[in-house]
Amino acid sequence: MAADLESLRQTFFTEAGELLTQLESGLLALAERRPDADAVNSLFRAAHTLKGSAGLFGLQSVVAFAHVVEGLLETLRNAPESMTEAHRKLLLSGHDELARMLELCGRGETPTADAALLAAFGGHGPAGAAQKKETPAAGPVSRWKLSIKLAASVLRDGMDPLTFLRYLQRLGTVEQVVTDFSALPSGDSFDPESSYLSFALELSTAAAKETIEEVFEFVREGSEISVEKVTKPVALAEVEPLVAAPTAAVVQQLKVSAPRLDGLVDLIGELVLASATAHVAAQRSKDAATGEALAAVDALVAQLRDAALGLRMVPIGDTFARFHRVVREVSQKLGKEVELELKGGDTELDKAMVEQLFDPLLHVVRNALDHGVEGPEVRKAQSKSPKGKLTLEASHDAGQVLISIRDDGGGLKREKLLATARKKGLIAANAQLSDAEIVDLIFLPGFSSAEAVTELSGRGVGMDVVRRAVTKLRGSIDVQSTEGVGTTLRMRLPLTLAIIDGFLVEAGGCPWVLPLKQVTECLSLGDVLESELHQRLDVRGELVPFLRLRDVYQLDGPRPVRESVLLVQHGEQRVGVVVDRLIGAWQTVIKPLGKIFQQLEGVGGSTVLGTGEVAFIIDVPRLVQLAMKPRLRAVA
Amino acid sequence: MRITLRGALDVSSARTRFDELRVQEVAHEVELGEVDAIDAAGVQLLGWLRARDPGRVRFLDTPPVLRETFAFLGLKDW
Repeated sequence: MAADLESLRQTFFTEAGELLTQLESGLLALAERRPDADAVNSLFRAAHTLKGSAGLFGLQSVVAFAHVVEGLLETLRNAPESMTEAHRKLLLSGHDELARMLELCGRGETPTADAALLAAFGGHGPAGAAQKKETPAAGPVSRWKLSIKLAASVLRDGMDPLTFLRYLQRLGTVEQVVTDFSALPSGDSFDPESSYLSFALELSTAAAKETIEEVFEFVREGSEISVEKVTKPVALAEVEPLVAAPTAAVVQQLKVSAPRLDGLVDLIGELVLASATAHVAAQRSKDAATGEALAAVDALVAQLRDAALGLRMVPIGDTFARFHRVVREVSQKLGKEVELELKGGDTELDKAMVEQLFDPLLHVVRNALDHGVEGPEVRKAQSKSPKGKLTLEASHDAGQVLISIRDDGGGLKREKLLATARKKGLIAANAQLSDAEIVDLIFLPGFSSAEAVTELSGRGVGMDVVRRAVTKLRGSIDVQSTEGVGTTLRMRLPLTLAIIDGFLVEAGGCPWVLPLKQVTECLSLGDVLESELHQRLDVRGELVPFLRLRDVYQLDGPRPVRESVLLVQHGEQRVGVVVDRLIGAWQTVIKPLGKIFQQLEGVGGSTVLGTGEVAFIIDVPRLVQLAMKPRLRAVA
Repeated sequence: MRITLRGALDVSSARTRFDELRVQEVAHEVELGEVDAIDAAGVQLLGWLRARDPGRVRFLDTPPVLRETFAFLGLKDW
């Protein structure tokens, strides 16, 4: 039972996070366009749902603060055109406060809402003179007498009884309030954090008794509340009909915890391995019927694998949306004007990957704002728009996800990069580097060309950390930059971190796996060899560099008479990988490399074959780099 | 005696204020001009101040935000 409750609590925190994201992105979107009823209603619903869910878990201080935020939104949704920039900023601060309070609740603490912020909401909230009343129901107005004595702990729980009384004003007219201080102890026995007050009030409203009682839904425990009808109903001359807001199509969803999904994917991984073992056994027994039956099982296992991995896929749009605020705040701090454009937010990738991507993206975005995009005066002097532009874009490309961060700033200054690298002793004074190698200097540990260390970046510990984080995700990163025009940083990432379709080959007596989606063609080396000396292939007139796996990893043994070559693609680059023997497509369960192999260049993981052998999984981006740098081809 | 209260009169500051006030002699004039927010805990605390010498404690320079709250709660003589 306790485990069930904990599981529900976790679900609540996950959902609360989603609601906060919804609230924040909705508020940020309103910076760009005029608020309308739909937009404000959506914000209101997020705050309202958060309040209700927090109440179920007894998080009274969150309930109380969400109630205040909701109160302002309630006022604004009745008059969306009255929403000002000050309202928006206040609501964003409210969002931050709710996030902070929920984080503390998650750690088992009892947060208290910031009093100054509460006061700020008080000034804009339902007590404001401009507030419109909600039409509670189309029916006769009745007069109700309410007697309210909230629990003594209500104040300590972070709730303000006055908020509930004021909320009643939205249901109708509060005719009279009598505040009773008679229970207030005198002298030192008074506890200022206990609630002693009781209230009697009269309310004229068309709302039903249940609706009035619902106002106190979150403070009912330990409270004495009575609602009694005291006069005959009075017909309303005119009652505006309630118009139901159009609702979006309802998609039934079921929340499943991430560890459960991970467990499912792990099990399917084991199933893939067991299926491969059975396959090998069937081949050895030369039993055709078993082989056919296993082929059918293989196909189903592949479908099951894809379905399970699909469950873990989430759109990157939510992560992208967080950058609206980052860009706004950082650019304001820097005195720059920057417009953020998001593209391809519906591109999906593994949830684990999305979570691990935020920090590297954050660093790249901050760098772009700090060092890339120029200030408005500099831009004007260069005949550019004073407002810079930063684009985050995601797309699928050759079985990978491509994430681009593009700015229209000053671009990387090659001379400055070289001078910095020489000054810091990162390259030899007489080193001759290609343009790509110069640009690549920004990824060296300790490299920073910033003239001053700033709060945002320029500590020289950034881009190498970004590259390491991306490499850890079996991805790669490259940068293209034109001086005066801008810089584009591209991250290529695999779709998933768990199971892939692989291509199994043999080289030097060892099995190797290449990600199938990056293999574009299989050829016989003899048919396409252009120069053994320069390690070039001639593929229908295109010169393609190649490397031999047995050379790269210094594997002994006789070369076969007929070698094969796999053409692999990474971005726009094609490279040939020469192997001894092609075996074929292979469902590959990715296992992490043991420590001893982690430094092995060009290897991204390992897998277990049906025979029980271990095969290394080739890291194609790294292998492509090796092929482009001949002097590095032999790996120790 | 006259005292001046400042800032938010709310639950987060109520205990500190109470600890300060209870050891002082009764304040008959309570200056509220610099109070910028109030909640039920603040209202209670003011109620406790008034109860120390019923009928003789006066609130001075009450700001609009407090006046509105007092009016809403039916505290006409505050």
